Amino acid sequence: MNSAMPRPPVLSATDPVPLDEGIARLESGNADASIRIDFGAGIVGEVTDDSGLDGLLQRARGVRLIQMIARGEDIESAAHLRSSKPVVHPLVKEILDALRQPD
Amino acid sequence: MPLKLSLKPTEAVVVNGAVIRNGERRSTLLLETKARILRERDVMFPEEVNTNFEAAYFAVMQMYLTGETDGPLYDACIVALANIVRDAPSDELCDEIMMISRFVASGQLYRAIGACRKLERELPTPDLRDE
Repeated sequence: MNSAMPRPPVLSATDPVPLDEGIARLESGNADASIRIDFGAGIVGEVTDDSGLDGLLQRARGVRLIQMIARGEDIESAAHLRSSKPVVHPLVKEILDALRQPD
Repeated sequence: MPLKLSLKPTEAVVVNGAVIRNGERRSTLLLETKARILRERDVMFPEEVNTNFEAAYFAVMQMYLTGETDGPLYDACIVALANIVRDAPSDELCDEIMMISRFVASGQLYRAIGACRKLERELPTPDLRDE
């Protein structure tokens, strides 16, 4: 790709965009914090500022993955979808340790 | 409007990451602001995770307790939900899993936990709970 080509302008949206379009915009860097993504069933994904855009992309990809599997599509990466020992967040570990304490 | 929380003797509740344990008598707490609240009975421990469904619940529970809506906990949740959907015997079950994934992805984690509890009651066969 010619690096001299101008980048397309960042698009803003107040109405939710379809899931695939939202992912494409986020992947191309063509979105800002005003983007709202339609996850289906009236549920929308959004962020409060630009620092949340990577997380929104991750969340949107997750919804798309579940939808693809539900439709019976062959997911190449399915092999890595094996459960392993659950990871425990440090804060959750602290909570669980407190709940385990004997009376 | 405050949330009224009734606690049995020695019952614990997690409020915004703090574990609060009741004393020897039944008591009532009034929560005057919004908070992430989880009763002790709804807490799952990692050693209780043996199935994809339990893995999904455990991941959603962790997200709710920490307030994190993406990152490794989200990935763990999606992996577990994907495995449930892949083996789901009915479209209805797929629809319920998709709703849970939407709740999680949109940060509606308490609703996701509620949907998980509802799903647990509806799981048609013990086989589905197994990996």
